Amino acid sequence: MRPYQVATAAVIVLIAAVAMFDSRAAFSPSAGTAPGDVGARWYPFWAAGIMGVASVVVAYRALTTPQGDEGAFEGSRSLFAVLKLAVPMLTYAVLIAGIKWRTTDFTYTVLPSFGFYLSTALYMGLFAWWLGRYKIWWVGAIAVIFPIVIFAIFEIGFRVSLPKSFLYDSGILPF
Amino acid sequence: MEVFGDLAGGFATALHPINMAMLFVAVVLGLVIGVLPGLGGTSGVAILLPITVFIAHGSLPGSDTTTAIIFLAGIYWGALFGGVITSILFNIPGEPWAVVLLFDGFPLAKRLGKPGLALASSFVSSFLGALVSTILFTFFALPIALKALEFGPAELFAVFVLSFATLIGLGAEAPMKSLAMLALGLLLAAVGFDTITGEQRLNFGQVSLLSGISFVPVTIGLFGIGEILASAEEQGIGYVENISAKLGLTDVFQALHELRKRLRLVLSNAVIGFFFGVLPGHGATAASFLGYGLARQYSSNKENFGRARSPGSWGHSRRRTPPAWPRSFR
Repeated sequence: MRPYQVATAAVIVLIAAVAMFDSRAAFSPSAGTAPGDVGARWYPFWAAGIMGVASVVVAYRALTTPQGDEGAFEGSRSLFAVLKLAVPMLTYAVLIAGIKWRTTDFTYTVLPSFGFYLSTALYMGLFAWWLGRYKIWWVGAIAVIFPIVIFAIFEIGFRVSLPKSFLYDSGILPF
Repeated sequence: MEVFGDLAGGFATALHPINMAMLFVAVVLGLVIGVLPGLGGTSGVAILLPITVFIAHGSLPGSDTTTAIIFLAGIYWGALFGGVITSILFNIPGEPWAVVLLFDGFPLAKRLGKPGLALASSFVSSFLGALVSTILFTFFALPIALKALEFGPAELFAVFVLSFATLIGLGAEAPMKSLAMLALGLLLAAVGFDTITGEQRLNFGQVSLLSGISFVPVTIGLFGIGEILASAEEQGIGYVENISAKLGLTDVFQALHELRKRLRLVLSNAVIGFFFGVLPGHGATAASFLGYGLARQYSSNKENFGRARSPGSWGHSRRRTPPAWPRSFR
């Protein structure tokens, strides 16, 4: 467990450092001693500070106290089981928005946004086919019908706009 | 004695057949909404508000505005109970104050395989808590509300420090980890506009972060997805945790038996919950943690807390519901 504990603590310290850096502007050492001195960033600054110090203590204790041999994952099989779920999930999140790279005078589209409906169709279809091992027509039905039902409920029924795909921008699909 | 007259009048109205029927419908609808992660009492009431307009206009035989109010109250309470179901069976809290229920409710359901007992315990203690707070509310609402108005920011801050301290004390194995995660939660809550000065915090120039990070994505992400990944790691991919939760009469009787053994705990926490619920702000969350801490503190078996015994679910529910009463009427 030791490397996992230390790595987690390190990531949290990094988050704390970023938050403290972002909140540094309104921080003054005399905060709280004069009226109007305590700015909006005083509280996140110290919350991040406490988080960082606590994580350092956690890392220190993980290094100095005896730890069990077992890791966070029981062998490569369980690691792959987690990755099989986590990677498609992250890909799904990325697909919804796409990847764009903005410069001052031009926006490069690295990956076009697939929007909520197309991404959901792909994601659900993939899981139904790959992990659920459903018959191919069931996969097709799940991937097509579910997003259309959500579209009908949200966009038509409740008029809640969810992220649209690049095909919507070019007028090919309604979502 | 005017109170008793009012109370009798209230019962007479509530027991009217159409009101009882709508209450039943509302509680079922509320349960359905509450089970959906992220949708709780308040959002349930908001979603189903159009139906109450329909009811209040007398579209149903015998219905009037009182029926609509009863319907709203039913949705609210149903949704609160629905949140308990997701906490116990799926380890996903529906509301901030249901977080404490994860500590013991889920282990009791999963590890000891007694989801029925966990649910029944929670429902029975919630019911008793609600009853106590309703009685207190009926007789002492005005004096307590007047006192609650004296509760300023300083007092509220003190209450939260106390409940945070309780929370750190609960994670007895690694208080530093609890402290770090508590601070992380505070940081996540700080993202976006500061409600007092209107300054932007921790948004890193992103417009979408200005509205902050709300409770629902955080709980779904940390508890829901975390739970899915953890069960994939333990059981292999494609495994779905199957906690069959048939709530039998045996569970209810066992829960009632347990309730009798812990009556003092439940009653004292119901009173605590009531006082916290009257306070403006998010009293319920603080109350739920304090109540759990109290239950743990006075338990004869502290080590087993959070390891699948029912006292925890006892501790939590009575505090969860009492705050709901004053909240729904604030």
